[in-house]
Parts: sequence; structure tokens; C-alpha cells
Amino acid sequence: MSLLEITNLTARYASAAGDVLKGINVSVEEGEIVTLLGANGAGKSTTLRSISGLVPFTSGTITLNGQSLLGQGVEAIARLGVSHVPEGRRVFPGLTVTENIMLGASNRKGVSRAEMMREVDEKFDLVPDLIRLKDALGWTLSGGQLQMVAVARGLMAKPRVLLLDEPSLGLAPLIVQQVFKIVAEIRKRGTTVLLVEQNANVALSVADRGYVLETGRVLVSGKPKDLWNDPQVRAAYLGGHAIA
Amino acid sequence: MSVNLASARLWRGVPQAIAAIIAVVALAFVVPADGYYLNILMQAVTYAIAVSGLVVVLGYCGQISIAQAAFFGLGAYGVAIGMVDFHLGFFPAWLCGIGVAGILGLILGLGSLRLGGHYLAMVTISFQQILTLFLTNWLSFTHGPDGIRDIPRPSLGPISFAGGHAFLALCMVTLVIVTLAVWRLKTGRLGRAMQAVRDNELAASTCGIDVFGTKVIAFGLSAVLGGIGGGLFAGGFQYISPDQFSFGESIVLLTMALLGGVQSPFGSLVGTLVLIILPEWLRFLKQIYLAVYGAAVILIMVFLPDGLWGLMLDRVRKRAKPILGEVEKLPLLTQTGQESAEIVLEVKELAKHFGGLKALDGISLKVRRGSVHALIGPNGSGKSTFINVITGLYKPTAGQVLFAGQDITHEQPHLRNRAGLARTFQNIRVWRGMTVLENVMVGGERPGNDVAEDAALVVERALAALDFVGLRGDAHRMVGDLSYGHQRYVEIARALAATPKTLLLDEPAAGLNLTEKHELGELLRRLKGHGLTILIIDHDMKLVEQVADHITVLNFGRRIADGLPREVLNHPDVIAAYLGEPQEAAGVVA
Amino acid sequence: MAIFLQLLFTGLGIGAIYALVALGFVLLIRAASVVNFAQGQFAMVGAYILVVGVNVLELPYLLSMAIAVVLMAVFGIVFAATTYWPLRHRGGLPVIISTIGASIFLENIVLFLYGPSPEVLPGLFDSPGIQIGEVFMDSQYLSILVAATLLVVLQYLIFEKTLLGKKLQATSQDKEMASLLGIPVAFMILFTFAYSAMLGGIAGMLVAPVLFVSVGMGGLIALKAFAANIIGGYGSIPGAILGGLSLGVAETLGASYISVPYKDAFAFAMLLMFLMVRPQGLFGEKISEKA
Repeated sequence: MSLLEITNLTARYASAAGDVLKGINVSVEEGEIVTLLGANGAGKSTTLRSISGLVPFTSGTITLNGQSLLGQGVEAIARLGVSHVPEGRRVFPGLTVTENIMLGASNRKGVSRAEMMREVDEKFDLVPDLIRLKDALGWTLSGGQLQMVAVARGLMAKPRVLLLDEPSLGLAPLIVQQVFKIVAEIRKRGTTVLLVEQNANVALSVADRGYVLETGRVLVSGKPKDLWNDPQVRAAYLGGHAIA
Repeated sequence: MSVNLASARLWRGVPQAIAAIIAVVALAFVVPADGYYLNILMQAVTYAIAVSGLVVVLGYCGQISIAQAAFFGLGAYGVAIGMVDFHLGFFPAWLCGIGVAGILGLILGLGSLRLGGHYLAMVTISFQQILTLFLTNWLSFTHGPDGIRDIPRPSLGPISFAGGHAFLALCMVTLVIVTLAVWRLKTGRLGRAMQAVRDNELAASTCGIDVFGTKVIAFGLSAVLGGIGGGLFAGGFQYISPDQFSFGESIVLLTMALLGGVQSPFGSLVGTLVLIILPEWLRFLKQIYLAVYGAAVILIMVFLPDGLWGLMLDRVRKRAKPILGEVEKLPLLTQTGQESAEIVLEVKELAKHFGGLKALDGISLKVRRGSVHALIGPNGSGKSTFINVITGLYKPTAGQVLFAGQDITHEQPHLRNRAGLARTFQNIRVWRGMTVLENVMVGGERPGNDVAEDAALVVERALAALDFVGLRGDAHRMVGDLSYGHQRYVEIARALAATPKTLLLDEPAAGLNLTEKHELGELLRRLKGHGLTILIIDHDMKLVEQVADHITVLNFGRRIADGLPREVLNHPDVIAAYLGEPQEAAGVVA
Repeated sequence: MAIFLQLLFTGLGIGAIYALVALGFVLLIRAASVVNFAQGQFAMVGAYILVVGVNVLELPYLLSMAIAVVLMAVFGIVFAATTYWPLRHRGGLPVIISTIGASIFLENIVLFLYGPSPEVLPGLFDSPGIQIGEVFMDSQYLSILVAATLLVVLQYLIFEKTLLGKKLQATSQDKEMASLLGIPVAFMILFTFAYSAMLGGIAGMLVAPVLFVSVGMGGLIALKAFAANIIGGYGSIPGAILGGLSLGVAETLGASYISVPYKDAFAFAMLLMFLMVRPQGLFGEKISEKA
């Protein structure tokens, strides 16, 4: 059994008619980086939101380490070790970088303050750029800095699986490289990652396996190499036209 | 068909109102002459008039006013002071009171309605308190806390309203007329505008509605209705004092409106009657009556969001008859037009910064008349910001927007719409409290539109727009009951009914399933070739390449490509923007 | 000058009460986006609990206050569960109206239980006060100022120095994200209600010996606190404190130098003025644009 197993997942938003996800099957093994690719509206983010409990799924199952996440609240799922770094980073604007990162440990019980500070320092080792910003308020940070804070905060949860939603969104190419270096480093240190990306190339460069989604279904899945050369992947992004 | 529609609309409700007038006059004269029933009815009827004002401002327009008793009091004091101290006749004094209420309402509205929803609530609370202080303390003018006695009743020519029955009849006839007017307001142009403002201000402003002005009018009307009710109250009881118009009474009036159902004047009638009669029935509760009342307000909010009237309507609601028959096609469809060299929308060096983030960083763009121009780019590239600046929802940091030769850079959104710029929204913004037809009619009622001044023609235009998107059969359904994709069509129909020069489609395919996307592509193709300029923003490349004549690509707030579809979509920068830079060279791979 | 200083002292005392109630307001606005029209009735309920403790059960004054504070916390949670919770997904308006309903309910249930005649509460200290120079500092006003200062400091410590405070702030800034981090959002909101009710209750207990304790006492205080909130800047914590104090001073000076009967009008006139001229208040952020 995989660490995270999604079977026949269908989901819909309360406001919309029709399913956004129509039977998704995804599995993530311990220690892997798995990426979900696809154009906007393919259902990538919704899949992540279903895992963390933000979107109640209508049918199918999601299990973490064999335990079903069905019907669990968002906070309970976080306590089970699912750490979701959502699209848009969502760093608390009125709190400092240190405070933001510290709060990432809210899902764990009985962590002493000293322990927490030590762990925060570890995160600064991982992302040294943040040290000089440790007392800066969230709203003063740039997009790339926000993304690093969000990832560091997500890691404070000591997650069984880290859900990363569009970390490259709105970032300049150079910054994207930096963020993904950190993602690669995280994996080296043993954290399992489920990564949602529109930027297929960069995502495939760090992933062990990938799934390409289109309108709520898995179109194709496999190793980065195979996906790289798969015309369907291009088509999913740029339309049939761009198939060279 | 338009003639029938027009006359049907003109006389709508009038026969029923005449019948109701006859009935209430008869009723007024059979009420037992002893004071008890007369007083209860007098109170109920005058309160109901004031409560119908809350239907307008809160129910239709969604603005909270907590000073209805103050306006009621202004009407009452107008009659009392005018008649007792200035020896005016009842009707001139009544008009004075109504006028003062209306003017103060307009002033308060002008001062507070530009700001968010709770500001009006706060301003009205303050006004209510200050008025009570003045009524109590300005002895020389208001007679102070003891109030004013012996207010005379009027006569009109040979008819005297001095008797209780006759005056009650006057009050009831006024109530019938007010109820008719408020009921008709809801289905008229102004009422629709109010509801649009209530349901979604942004969408209202981009459909040509002056949001601020509409709110001020709604609040002013509610103040006037308060004054009308108050004047009759003074004549009915012939004695008034400041405590009858306190904050607490404003709350009572608000509760009446909510209990009955704030969406309809009939609801407010029911609510007023119930809350006037209830304490009489619940005499045993006398002591804790108001406590029960307070608890009831909470329970109503929790369990009866639409009030008693909403509950009754749900039981008996029948589907309105579909409007059959051919209607004239959208004028657009009878024209043919091709892309011309003329530039209809020109954007120069447009920039929009949010703090340090440069969402738009000097974008220039020319859209030719009659073309379908697509604006694409990955998430966060600035497309939505762009359309929000073009339609006036954001103010640009720098740059210029020219539309049809006119500089609209600093124009308000509703004025841009009136100039012929219509849009749809990425996350659908329809007015959920209204039917499909009403939503589209508001589009057709854009000031300056060819049909805007004629209600019948607006209906016809709206039906034509619904024909075009294939939703004619759903015209009378509540728009919220439609599927997501069909709600998007309603938005498109609403925009088309306004006969725009340029149509801006903000991610029309977002959230649609495959079939719906396919249908949307069909629909957009049918729009082509009629001379309508379309600027479409989307992620869905299949859709974009089907319909676009030109494509502009944004990334990081800058333009990275511009030109014909085939060139643009094969441009290496564009592929990189969508798929990311090729990584072999970047050396990230672990 | 002496009179002016005397008035300033009294004004600050009454302003501190407005500030405390205004703080309760702001916390709820920030944590739950609730504009609570029953905030003044929190003060009234607090004062009546103290009346029961001191006058009826004849418990020691400070013990009664302590009990009352605990009861107010419980009351805050019950209030949240009945008035806010069922409506929390329905937008601002229904909750506002429901809190208005709650304010009517509270006033009248107390009226039913306790009758309309106002109660008199002794002051916290037997000594009438101290004379400093030309200013006589009434002991109750002095207690109000000291207690309000302590509460503000305490609140600062809780919110800025503890993890709980950070979680509360996180909740008020982004509920969904807080929830994703495993912060128990519902608990945070209930805590804020409890705390806000305690603040309101304490304000009522402090002001009780100065005013009479009556069912109507809360309404006016709340409206003033509300005004303080706007004057200081909607949703701003320093704004609530400064707005409350300046309002207290303004109306005390106004009543003395301009007109007594219109004392209560000054607050509202000031509010109207601010709304028209500087709607963001003293400390408010500029009303920002949103898509």
C-alpha cells in the first residue's frame, strides 16, 4: 500500500454544477516527489484541496498510510501529517517570518517553545535567504520570499506528505530555480511531496513520477522522461495546434 | 407583441389595487367604533407603510438602515408641528414632514453610501440617536418629552377625515397605493438596478448601473416612505412624543420587515400585522414579550431567511408562463462586419502595481474593430488585472486606456459600460436573487442602449439574447438554479443585450466541463463576423486558437508576444512561459 | 485650567470604558468579521452579575468580580453558539441582525428578571478619592483607568507574546490557512467571543458604580464604543483605545462647555464628521481595492 492513495476520486464545489474531478487515481510512495500537471482548470488544485479536506469529495477514497481521510476535518487531516502549502502562499500578512514559520507546527502537540525555535532555525539553514528577513512582516515580502516562507512553514508540520500547490506561480525564472532547488533538497532530506505545477518542465525535473490531468481526469502518467516526450502533455497545455 | 407587453406592464396590479381600495374602505367603516380595534389597525397600517420603506432599502437594495423610526418621526413631527404651531393644513404639513425626511435621507445617504455596507448602519444609528435627543431637548420647537397633543385631522373638499373610520380609510388607501408602488418598483428598471446592486455591486457597475446613485435613491425612498407613514400616524393618534420614534422602534420596524420577508411589500405587510397583533394575543407574555421578540429575531434569521412571506411563496410558487413568440433577433446578428484597421481599444504603457508587486508593467495593446483578440498568459501573468483596469475596477498606476477614441483611463466603471464596453467575469457574477430574464434585462437597460427606455423592448431584447445563447426556456428560472456553464451564458447574454461595441470575456471557459467548453466555442464562433469586437482572456488554448484573430501573450505583467495565433503559439518564449524553461540546461535535476 | 484638568480626568475615565467595549468590538470584527450590536449588553449583563454578587449574595466585592468575569466568558461562548455559529456562512447582514435580536433579548430578559428600577452599586474602594493639586481623582474613575490600562497591557502580552496570541492573529488574518496548519479555528473564534464578553463585562462592572445599573445602560455605551471604533479606524486595536479615550474627553468637555442635554449628541456628531471627512478613521488603513 502506498503512503498516499487516491482512488476514483470525484469532487465538486458547492457553487458549481458538475464534477470538477471525475475519478482520479493517484498514488504517492514514501519518499517520492510526485507531480500533477495540466492546464488551468484541469483539477490539480482541487485534488490537493480534497486531500487536505477543503473540498469534500463526493465519491472515491483517499487514504494516508492506510487510514481513510473521508469525513475528517481540515484540522484533523493536518494533525495526521498532511501539510498543504496552498496556491498563493497564504503567508499571514500581519505576522513576522519567524512567527509564520513557527505556526507551521500547530498540528503537533506538546512541542516546547525552545524545540520550536530550534526547528525554525533548521528551516533557516534550509533557506538561508530568510534569515535576514526573520522579523519582517508577511506583507512586506516578495513573491519568491513568500513562497520560501510558505514551504518552510509547511515543513514545520513534520509532514508525512507535503502538498505543494503551484510554487512557481508568478515567479521570475531565476526565482523558480531557487524554489525548486529547495524542493529537491527537501526530498533529499526524506520528505514526500505531492507537487502541483503548471510549469511542466521544472516540475518534471525534480519529480520521480508525474500525472497529467485534463478536465478532471488523469490523461497519462509515468516517469518524467516519458512524459517529457509525450505529445499529449504539450497538447494539454498549448492546445492541439502547437504539436510541432 | 411589444404593444401587448407594454400595456400589460403599464396596468400591472392596478385592477387588483382598485379592488383592494374598495375592500379596505369598506373594511375601515365596519371596524367597531370603540377605539381598541381602530387603534390597532391604525398603528398596523401606518407602521406597514414605514416598513415598506425598509423593503426598498434593505430588501431590494441590500443596505441596512437602522433609523426608520427616525424618518417615521420626522413625518409625524412635520404634521404635528405644522398643524399645531404653524396652523398649516394636514396635507401641506404632511408634505413638509415627508420632504424633511427625504432630504435628510439623501444627505445621510450621500455621506455614507460610498463606503461599505456597515457604514450606513452606523450612520443611521447615530442619526437616530441625535434625532431623539433633539426631539426630547429642543423644547421650543418640538415641545420636548411631553410630546404634542390635539393634532387635528384634515378634510379634503367635502370629505372630512375627522372621524376615526374615515381617517383609517385614508391610511389604508395610502397603504394600498404604497404597496402597489413598491411592488411595481421591484419589477421595474430602478428596482432591478437596486437588486443588481444588492446581489453584486461589481457586476452592477460594469452593466452601466450607477451603484452609488442607486443606493442613495433607495435610501432616500425609504426615508420618504417612513415620512408618509409617520404623518398618518400623527393624524391617527392625534398625540405624539419622542419615545415613539426611538432606536427601539427602529428595531421593531426592522424586525417586522424581516419577519414578514424583506423581499416583498406583501411580506412586510404580513410581518407588521403579525407583530402588532401578536402582543395582543400573547398578553400572558406581556412582561417578557420583548425578550421573546428578540429571540424571535435570531430564530427568524436562522430558520426563516426569507421570512413568512417567503415561506408561503415556497408553498404556492408556480412557474411563470414562458413568453412565447418570435422576437426580433439581436441587432448584432443581422449585421455583417469584418475586422477593420480601425483601433477600437488602445492601451498605452499600462501599469498597475500592488505595493511592490508589478502586476502590470507597461503593457501596450491595440484591438482592431471587429476582431477577436485573445489575451493569454500563465497564471499570475496579469491578465485579470488587465481586464479589471480596462473596465475601471482598478485604477492604473500609470498609462492610458483609449476606447473608441475617448480617453477612459479615469472613467468610472458604469460610464465605461455606457460607452459600449461590456464584460463577463472569471468567477461568474450574476445576480442570484433575480431570474435569468431579469439578469439579462438589466444588461439591456444600460443607459444609452437603443431599447433602454422602453420596458417592452427591453424584454424583447433580453429574450433575443437568451435565444442566442439557447436559454429562452429558462427565462423565468432563478439564475442560481442554472448550471455553472449556463450561468456563464447568462452573463454573455447580459453583456450582449447591452449592444456593446466591445465585449470583454474574462476566462469564459474557466470551470466548464468538456461539453460546455465545446458549446462555448460554438457560441463564440457564431459571434464572429458580425462586426463585434471581442477581447477574450483564457487559458484554454484549444478555445483560443479556434476563435482568435490575434493573440497577445503576457507574462510577469509584460507583453512577451503579439501577433497571429500560429506565430504566437509556436513562439519559444510562449512555450517557455507555459511549460517552463527547458530544464536540461538549468541543471536543477538532482 | 483646574476645571479643564478635572474634566480631562473624568473624560479619560469614561473614555476608558468606551475603549474597553470598543476593544471587544474590534476583536470580534477581526476574528470572525462579526459586527456585534450586543456588545453593550455584555457590559449590562456583567454589571447585573456583579449586582447579584455584591448586593444580593453579599459576597466580597473582588470575589464577585472574579466570578462575574468567569461567567461572562461562559456567556460569551453561549452567545457565539446561538447568535453567530448557525449563521456564520451566511454573510455579514444576517449575523448583524441576529446580534441586534440578541441585544433586545438580553435587555428584556434582564428587565423581566430584575425589574425596571435601577440598581446602585458601591464603589470598589471606600475612600472617595485623592486630591492631586487642583484635580480631585475620584477613586472609581481611578480604578477604571488603572484596570483599563492593565487590561490593555494584558491583551498586548497575550496577543504579541504568546503562541495562543499568534494563533488568534493567524485566525483573524486567514481562517482557511490557519485551519490547514492545524490551528483549531472554531476554538479560536469561541475564545475571542469569550474574551470579548469578558472585556465588555468588566467595562460594565467598572462603570456600574459611576452610573446606575439599568437594563438600558449598555445600549448607549455600545453606540459610543461603536463610534470610537470608527473614529479610531475600523478594525484597529490602537484606534479603538484612542478613539474611546478621545470620545470620552470630547463629550465630557462638550457637556461642560457647550450643552448638557446634548452631551450624548457629541459622540454621534463626531462620528458623522469622521464618516464624511475621514472614513478610515485615525488609524485605519485606506479602504483597499479588491477584485
